[in-house]
Amino acid sequence: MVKLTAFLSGVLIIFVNYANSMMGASSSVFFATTYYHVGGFVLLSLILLYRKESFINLKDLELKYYLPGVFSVFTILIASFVMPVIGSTMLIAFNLIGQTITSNLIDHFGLLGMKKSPLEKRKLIGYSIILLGIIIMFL
Amino acid sequence: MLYYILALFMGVIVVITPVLNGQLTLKTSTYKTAHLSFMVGAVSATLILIIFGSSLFGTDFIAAIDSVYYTSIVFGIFLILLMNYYASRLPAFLIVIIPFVGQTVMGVFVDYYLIDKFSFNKLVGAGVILLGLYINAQVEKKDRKRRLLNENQGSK
Repeated sequence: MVKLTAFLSGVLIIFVNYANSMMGASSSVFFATTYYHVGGFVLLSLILLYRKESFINLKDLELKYYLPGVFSVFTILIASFVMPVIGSTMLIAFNLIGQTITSNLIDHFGLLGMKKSPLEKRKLIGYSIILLGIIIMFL
Repeated sequence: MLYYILALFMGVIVVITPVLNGQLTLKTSTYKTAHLSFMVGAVSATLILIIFGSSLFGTDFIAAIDSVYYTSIVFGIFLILLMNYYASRLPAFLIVIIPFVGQTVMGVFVDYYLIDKFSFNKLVGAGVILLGLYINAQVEKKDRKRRLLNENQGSK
């Protein structure tokens, strides 16, 4: 059951990206990402009100916690812009390379307050296979 | 080339976002964190729209948008809740692998039926990538076990 929710999340990521990119195609990617965030903001405000939770206190909020919101805009801009051109499978593949490099850098150097755990050399085998998979996609 | 670099960069921010949001969730709550994220997103997206998309301030184009696509926000928020649900209930390697499979299945569907970018090679490539992910997950699993064993012996 839990595994199914993880699978479903993968499906939904593509659906949301696709919906935004289609909306972008009929208007502009800038409109699509604005719609998504303003709409999500309104919906989540209602959810918070319903749950009787207060909004987050912006006063003592560290600056780095503002980043995810900005990143979220870029994620949609990029997906809407890139997916129609290279296709969603390619988008997933290159996304994965970026994810792999970043998560290894974070772990290796202990960035962003995460625990430091040096890169396991045996993992290079798996990474070579991932790279091979991406090369096959281009053939 | 630019498209691939952007796709790569998207991977970078996709990793950083849950790290920061995870930290903030521990301090506040899931909904508050998501709310902040959408609030900052709404402000920055509106600014970007005003700067780059000012030719769009008419309303004619809204009729051209298929109403299905407006549901993206509901699924987007549902997605955050799903991720929060399984993140603490699945072993780390499955958190990477299962959504990847879900994405690939849906991605192949979208490419084949909707944007006509499907090729058999991409499917084979995705399979090979999955194998690589799986192998590394096993390495990580063994590594974690060994470390746990060492720690236990150290404490005796």
